[in-house]
Amino acid sequence: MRADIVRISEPAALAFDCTWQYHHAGFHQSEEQVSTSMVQIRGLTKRYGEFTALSNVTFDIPRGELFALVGPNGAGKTTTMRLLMGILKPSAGTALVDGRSCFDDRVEVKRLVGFLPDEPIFHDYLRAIEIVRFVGSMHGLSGSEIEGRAWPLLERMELADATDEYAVNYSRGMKKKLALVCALMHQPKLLVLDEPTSGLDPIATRRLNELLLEMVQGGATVLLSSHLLDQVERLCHRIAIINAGRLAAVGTLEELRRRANAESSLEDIFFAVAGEIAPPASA
Amino acid sequence: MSAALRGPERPPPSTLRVAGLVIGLAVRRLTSRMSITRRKKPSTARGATARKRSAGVLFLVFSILFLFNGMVQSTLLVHRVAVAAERRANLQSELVTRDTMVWVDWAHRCVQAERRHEHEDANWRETLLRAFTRQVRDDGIGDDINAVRRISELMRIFEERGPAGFREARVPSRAVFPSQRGWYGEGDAGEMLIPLGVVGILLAAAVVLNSTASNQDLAKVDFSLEWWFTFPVPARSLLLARLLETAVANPLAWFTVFPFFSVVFWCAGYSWRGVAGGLASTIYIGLLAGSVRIVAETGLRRFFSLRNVARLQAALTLVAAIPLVIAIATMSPQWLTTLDRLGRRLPTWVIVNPLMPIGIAAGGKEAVMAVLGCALFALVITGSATTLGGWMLRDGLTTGAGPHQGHRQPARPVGESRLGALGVVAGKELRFLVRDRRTFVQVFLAPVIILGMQMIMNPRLWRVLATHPRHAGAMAFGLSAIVLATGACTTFAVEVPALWMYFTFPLAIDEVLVRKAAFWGVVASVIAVVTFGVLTSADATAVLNGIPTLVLVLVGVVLYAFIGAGLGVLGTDAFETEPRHRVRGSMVYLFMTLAGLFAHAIYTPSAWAKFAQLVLSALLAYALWQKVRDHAPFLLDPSEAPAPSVAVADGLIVALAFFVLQGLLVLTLGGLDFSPGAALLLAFVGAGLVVGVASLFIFWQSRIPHLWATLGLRTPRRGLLRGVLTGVGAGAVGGLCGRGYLMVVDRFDVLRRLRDDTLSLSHSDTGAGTILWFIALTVVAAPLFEEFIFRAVLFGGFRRSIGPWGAALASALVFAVVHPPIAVVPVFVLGFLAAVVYERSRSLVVPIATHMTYNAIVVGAALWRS
Repeated sequence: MRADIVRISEPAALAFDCTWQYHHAGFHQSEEQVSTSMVQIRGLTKRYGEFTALSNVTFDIPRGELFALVGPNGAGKTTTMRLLMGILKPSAGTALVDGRSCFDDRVEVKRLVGFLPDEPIFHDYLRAIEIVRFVGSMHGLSGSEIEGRAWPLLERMELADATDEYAVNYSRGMKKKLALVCALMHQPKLLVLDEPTSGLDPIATRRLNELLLEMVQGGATVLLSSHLLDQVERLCHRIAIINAGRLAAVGTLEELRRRANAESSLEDIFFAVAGEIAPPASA
Repeated sequence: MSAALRGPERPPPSTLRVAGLVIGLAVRRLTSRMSITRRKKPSTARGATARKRSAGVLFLVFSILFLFNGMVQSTLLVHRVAVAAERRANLQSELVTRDTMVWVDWAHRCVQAERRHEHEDANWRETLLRAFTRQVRDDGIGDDINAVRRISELMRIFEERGPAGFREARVPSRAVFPSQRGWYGEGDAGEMLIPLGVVGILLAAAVVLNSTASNQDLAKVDFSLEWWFTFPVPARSLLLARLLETAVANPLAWFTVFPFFSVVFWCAGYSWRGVAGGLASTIYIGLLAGSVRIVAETGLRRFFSLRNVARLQAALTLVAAIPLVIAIATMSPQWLTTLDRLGRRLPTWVIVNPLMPIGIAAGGKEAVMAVLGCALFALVITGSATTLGGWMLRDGLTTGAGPHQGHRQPARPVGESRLGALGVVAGKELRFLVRDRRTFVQVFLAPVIILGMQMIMNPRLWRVLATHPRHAGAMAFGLSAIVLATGACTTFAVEVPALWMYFTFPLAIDEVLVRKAAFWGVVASVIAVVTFGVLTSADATAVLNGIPTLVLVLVGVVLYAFIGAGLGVLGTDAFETEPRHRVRGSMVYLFMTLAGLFAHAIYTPSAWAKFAQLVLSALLAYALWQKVRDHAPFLLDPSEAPAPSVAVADGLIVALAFFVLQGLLVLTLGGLDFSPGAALLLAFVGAGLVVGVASLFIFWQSRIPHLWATLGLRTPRRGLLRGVLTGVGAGAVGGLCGRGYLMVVDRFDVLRRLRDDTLSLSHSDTGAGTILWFIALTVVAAPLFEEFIFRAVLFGGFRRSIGPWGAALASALVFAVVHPPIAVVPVFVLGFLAAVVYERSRSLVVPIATHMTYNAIVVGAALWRS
């Protein structure tokens, strides 16, 4: 079993990600890399005591790309995102956004990044609109800028009719949409979305997908994690598969397919790469 | 087929089993929260993210303290009631102790002997006066005028009626522990039962109202209730389980009702069996509370809109405080008398009836009636409450969505507003404060209740506060400190669930926290100003005289808002899921202790003590916020901690440890055979060595990088000789300043007196030996250790946050404050110069040379003069 994992993951990691280039470049960042990559992750490791949640992960996300992190529960996706947001400090390695360190330059980085957590929790006793205004003000937006940006976003997320409600009374999907509005208020260059579609209804999911594509066309970069493999397959330019804290594979769907010798769908690749779980017999 | 799908039929668990399970769960939660039964888990993959220890021992100690206090207060109450009852039963004669009675009889014999001219003893009068004085003191009359009045009255009675005017009291004059002698059983049983029954009813009402009002948000379905309703168990069983849970797990009942009834029954003649009676009474009142609670929980949500339920509960919280406050107020004799009188106006059966446990104290048939009545009533009310609750839940748990209803409607867009980040954070805090019922009550009502209680218990206080601004200022600061202990200390903890949002803002977390602290500073300042104004309003001159005090109070309130918020951040466990246990309780106690020190500074007349306390409080606030700033980026990271470094807090701790140890050593060595000078020097060196070595060891253990260089333990940058010369030069400049200052001191009478006072305090005997010790202390020992504390640690701690100039000023200020008042100005100059040369050379050798030179010049000049 262990031999299987090594056989599949090692060449996969070597062949079609930036690790290869990175190893040969000898840790020196070229000028080109800084200008094209929005996110650079190098040997990123996070340990909680003796437990290693993320181990030596390396990948790049070029500007204007829609990039997906997939992997089983507890694989390290959320840890990666929290490291990018400077909520956690790396135990080793670096995470850079636009060439800036996510932990050391966290204040600067957050001007560029919008973040949607897996389970957004809001302050008690604040109405939705008050939260949106609070977030806008904390990003330094003026009152008119906030109103000008918030209402179209709220309309689009179908929250405009419930903005006077306390956010704690929102359903899970509504909270997620509200958090998304908050993440978009300052027009970020990079969106970090932790399972953005979980809890969303099909209409909202489609709207979100459209919104993400629009943003990417406008030059923004998106990093999202998801369990909906078919959605990732349709939407994302490149995909990274994380398993047990290690990067198992990264590349475009085509590259992943070629590498894993798997059949057509991302689901098959996922099962092949994630290794431990055998594909269902009927597939 | 369908039967197979359903699986084997299992009957639902019995009601008793459900109750057992639910209570077991409640007990398990309580014990694991208090970590009383927590065992070390075998190390697992995630072992290192284990949670911090909670204060289990503290909880146990406080429980025992509360129970003991309840016992003592109840005994005092029973005793007071018994004394009053005995007095009422013997209106014709004065009740005195056996001792006094013996002296009265003796004096009577003396008088008779005098009359028969057998024997003359003029001293009986004096002896009797002494006996009456003791009697009056035993009766608890502390006031001099009243005591004299009472003594002369007793004398008059003796002269008029002789021993017939007195009677030995059955109830002893003092009582601390419950005993049957403390009960007055003769005469009407109502004499004892009515006042005690009133207190019992008040305590029961407090327990019932509190269980309903403050246990949870009534407008929100309790999570556990919602969960339980997913089990295949009838609603009535669940409600009964909840009722029993309330009856058993009810701290207020255990700390008030239990000791009260136990003591009453014990004294009434049941002895230790009274404790069993107290236990039963507590459970009985707990059952009443549980019944009312489940009816309220199920019924209010059905018949009122959720918004009104929240309002009703807020009102109930206020009402619930009233019976408890009145019951506690019976500790004051006037209130007890008033309540007693009120109780007597009502028919006796209202207070002493078979539904009230107090009837047990009557003994005999009445006690049996009370036991039967209570047991029956408990059964009836428990049964009807569960039935009623079950009936009200027939359509489900709730009719609405949430506790605080907004409107499903678009909000109005607002126009241009430029609040800035401070305004934004303050606005959010203000909304929270106004909308959160619990915080609002804690912040604004607690001070009113505490002040009101003080005024009720001690009416003279009002006059004292009105005419003495210092007293009023200390009171105003105290109330603000209570507000801060509930508000500022928890201001971070309430943010924890939504803390992720702050990590998305382009603003350091500690900057947000500073704004929250500032907000609480403003709220507490408003409360301080209002309190001070109300207290001194009676006297216009007091208001004017009080302005400097008020300024000191306000500065203190703002500093303590930062200290409270800083302690709150450092004492909060961001990974704790139970909101009430996120802030470590010990931090709040620490805060109140520190605030107590500052309140003392407001109260003390010494301006110097005020100034020193102000500087030290500011230092403490700064040290805490430096720590907060270090820790802020790691608040949501369970494994990483800030890089080790020397902090202002370390400087504060090292300095404190040094002075405390030095004091202890002086005391210890004073008892041995040393001359005062030698003892002082030995204490200084001993404390310096211990603190120096210990702090070096701790810094080394915490792996501060480049430890020796960080603490200036290396050769000066431009060579040893040049460094020492620079140091001596700076010391000479400082020493000349010091000489000049001493000349100025000579010209001003006030300063000269201050200097002479200080000198006479510091070395009263000036033999040649003492002078040598004194020189060794000031010229050799002091520079070595003080430079390490104030330059290496304290200046180093400040330097990394506020730069070299700010650090030089701040460390010099603290250095000056720990010296005698007369020396503040020159010592400040010395501290500043030493910090500057230390900054330039990065070696402690240089400021040590400066300090030695300075002390040599100043001490030399003083010796030469004398």
